[in-house]
Amino acid sequence: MKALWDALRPALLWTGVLVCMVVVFHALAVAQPRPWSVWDWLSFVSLQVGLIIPFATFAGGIALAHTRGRRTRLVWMAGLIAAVTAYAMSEFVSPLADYADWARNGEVVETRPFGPRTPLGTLRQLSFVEANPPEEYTLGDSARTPPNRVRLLLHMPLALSAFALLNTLLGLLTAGLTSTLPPPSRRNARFAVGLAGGLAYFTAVYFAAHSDRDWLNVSGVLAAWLPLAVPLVQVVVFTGVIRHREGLLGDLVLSAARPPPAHGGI
Amino acid sequence: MRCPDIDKVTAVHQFGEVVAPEVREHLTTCESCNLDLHILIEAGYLYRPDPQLRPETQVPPGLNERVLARIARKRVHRADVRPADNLVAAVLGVATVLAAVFVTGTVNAAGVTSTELALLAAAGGTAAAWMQSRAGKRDIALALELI
Repeated sequence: MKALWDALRPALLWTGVLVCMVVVFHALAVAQPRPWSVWDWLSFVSLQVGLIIPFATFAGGIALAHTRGRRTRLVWMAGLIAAVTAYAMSEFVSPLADYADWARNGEVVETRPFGPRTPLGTLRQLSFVEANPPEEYTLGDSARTPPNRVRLLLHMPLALSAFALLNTLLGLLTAGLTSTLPPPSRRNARFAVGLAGGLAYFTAVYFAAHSDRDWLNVSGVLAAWLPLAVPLVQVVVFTGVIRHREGLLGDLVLSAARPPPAHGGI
Repeated sequence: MRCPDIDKVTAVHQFGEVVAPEVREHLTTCESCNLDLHILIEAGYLYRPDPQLRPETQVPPGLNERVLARIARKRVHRADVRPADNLVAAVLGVATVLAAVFVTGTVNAAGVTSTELALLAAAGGTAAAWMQSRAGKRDIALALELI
């Protein structure tokens, strides 16, 4: 339990620091057409938490390098907790707070015709647009959004949660890869790998889910899940490099061994 | 490899000599245990102390302290944060802050100016460089505890 907390603490710290920074920046720099209510803030903050946690789990994976035994199990447990938290924050807490704010103003029927934008609301929207295909699709109107785009909105948060899991594993692998470096270079190398991995995944998501794509013909499910190929390739490459290095080390030890003694049993 | 008949070959051998007769007999037929024992013997020979050499070895006085001090010096040298390390950390901090603003969509929000973004990025870079220096000082303090 302590090892699990040790893994989750850095991820929470990174999430807290980055979310605070974004929220303060938003409060100071972004022009608001009207003063924000508590529901507005709750919706905004929980959405940011849900977005940043999957990227911050990399730090949790690195922290797991210091624990002994059962690391793989801890990686999956920490990754799963982070993934579920991120999904709950961005797909339930944030849309429900947003819905409460619209309901408070009495504008909920016009702005949220399918209820809160939770996965259930998105499913209702998908059923509606499939049963009532409009003459012309548009991304601005939820009743006329292409079904493939709605499927993307349904699957994207799940894919992001899967990324949280993979990113925890990537953190552990990166810790193994950089363990022989001097401490300052090691910290920078881990920082750089985590940042580059997160940016690579985000870039893939950005292009896969771009609003300019032809959502009548592009598969929303594929567009949501395909960007996961980036962290998966990273995992394969990192594992390969670590195994190769371990193999070299094993060969070195065996070559240093003296010839075996004459032994009756062998 | 695991043998169902004998659980721990390690427990019954010492530096390549199999003591128990039943294990010795088992080894003539079991390939798995043979391989285990072979690996153990290889490892044993790597780390085996030579009892004949031991009485002649004279350990100089203060060797322990000198070795620890040398290790500590090496650790301090490795933990020392150079300006280049701070610069790299600062660049990474700037990139992280900008990435977070971009990922959360704040960069496209109304009213955000490039000056505000630059100030935020500078704050992120400074914080990252400060964290790097602080971690370096902590590592040096830990290395010095060895002496």
